Amino acid sequence: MKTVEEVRNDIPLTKKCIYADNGATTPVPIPVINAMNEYFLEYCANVERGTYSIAQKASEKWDEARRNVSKILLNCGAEEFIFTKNFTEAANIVAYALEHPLLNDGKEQEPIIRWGRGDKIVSTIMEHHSNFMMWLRLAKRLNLCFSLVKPTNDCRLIPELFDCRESITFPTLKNLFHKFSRIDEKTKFVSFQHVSNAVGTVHDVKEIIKTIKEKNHDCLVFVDGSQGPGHMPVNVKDLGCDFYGFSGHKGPLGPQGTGGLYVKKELIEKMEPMILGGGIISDVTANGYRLADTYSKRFDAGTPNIPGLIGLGKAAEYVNEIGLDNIEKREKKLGRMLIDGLRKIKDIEIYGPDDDRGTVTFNIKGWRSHDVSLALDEKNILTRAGHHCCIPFMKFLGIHEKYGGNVRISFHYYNTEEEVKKIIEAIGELL
Amino acid sequence: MKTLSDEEAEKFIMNLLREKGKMKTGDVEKEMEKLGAKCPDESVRFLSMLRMKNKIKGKLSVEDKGWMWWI
Repeated sequence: MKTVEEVRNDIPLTKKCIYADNGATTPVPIPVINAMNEYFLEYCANVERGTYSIAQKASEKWDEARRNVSKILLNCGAEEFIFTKNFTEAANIVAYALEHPLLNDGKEQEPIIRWGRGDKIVSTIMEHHSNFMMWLRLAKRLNLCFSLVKPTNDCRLIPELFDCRESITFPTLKNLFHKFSRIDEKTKFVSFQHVSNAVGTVHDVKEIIKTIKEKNHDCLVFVDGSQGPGHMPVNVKDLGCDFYGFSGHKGPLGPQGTGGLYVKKELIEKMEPMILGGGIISDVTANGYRLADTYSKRFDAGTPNIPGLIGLGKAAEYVNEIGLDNIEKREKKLGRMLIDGLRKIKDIEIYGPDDDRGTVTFNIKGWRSHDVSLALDEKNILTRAGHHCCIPFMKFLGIHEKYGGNVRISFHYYNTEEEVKKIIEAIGELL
Repeated sequence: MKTLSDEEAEKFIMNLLREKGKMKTGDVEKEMEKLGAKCPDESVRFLSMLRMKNKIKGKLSVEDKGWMWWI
């Protein structure tokens, strides 16, 4: 296990400021930077192509990164894991595959979902735009119903909500939104978040999926894990999801431009790649092609972000050395300290449930959220303000116009109790 | 609501602050909204960028519950 001080030594930025915007991106530890440097300096070659020694080494390191990332961050096999550039790409890969049946060896294969009249996609009002827009487009293109589940008053998604008749209809989208969110035989796809980036709630994903599958075993479930892996242990098999996407540059402490997507084995076999090109085929003729037999490698067309993804592999090892349980416990402890401290300050609105959690969002009455964040920046406290790419949710909470969103403080393992005290003090001084 | 280009927003804000004197972030936003327009970025980020370029001045005002901007 790495101590907090050891991790802070590996991340020089933590000595220069109070970095509390881990929900957006995290600074990269020196061992991860060194792993990427080593690639550039020692074996900078393309993967899956050259026969010379450093190309072989690059391919080995690449495969090792895939094994480490899939095993450590999601507890799945490399054969069920696709490298992506971020969560957004992961969601778009799935959306594309749900619209386009696999074309391989000159034949169109059975689609993943055979969409029919009146079929339904269900999501929630809490979602980030990156887990919202592609499903909306899919529903529009295929003329499907699109329904959004409302959270509880304290911003939780609970299983019962996926089996109730209450959902949201936006006036401007009146014809598109289905009036019921209930999971039934017409519900073919559900997508929702593991952790809210806008209020910090950690949802009971396993129980929600259990409820969905009990109602309709064939309904496929996609989970937005943008705020999950690296912040806590995640076991996609145990959760029971069909797809789980995440970004490497958040919890896992990896570099920007990296991420991943778990796809259940029986589904990855049927998935049409969104991008075609070199490196993903077993044969190409003048009038056809046969995709690679290793399914997970069908999604690596063109030269991928080799240094970044090798860096992500090292980052996975790094958070594993800290211990994912330790990270989760520490973030919760710091979040609890912050919530308790903010509660003592008048005129503060805190959003989300009264759970221990690593991401806390709030507003100060009378202040625009960005003004607060800029004020904290004056004290070298780096936070995020605004709608957090969740405009529908901010409007739902009634804070979009009023505050311009909210102020978010999101922790990682390397944040300290002393930093939390300074944050509370700095916020208190604004009142 | 039209999103102004960097140049349009800068010109608008400079003229506005010259005319009205010190203004809060929210008041700058309201003036823009009257024209059906918004900054290319979040208003405070755009204002803050203008401040860093020394084109406008800005200061936190706890009494006014936010940042004040002026030329």
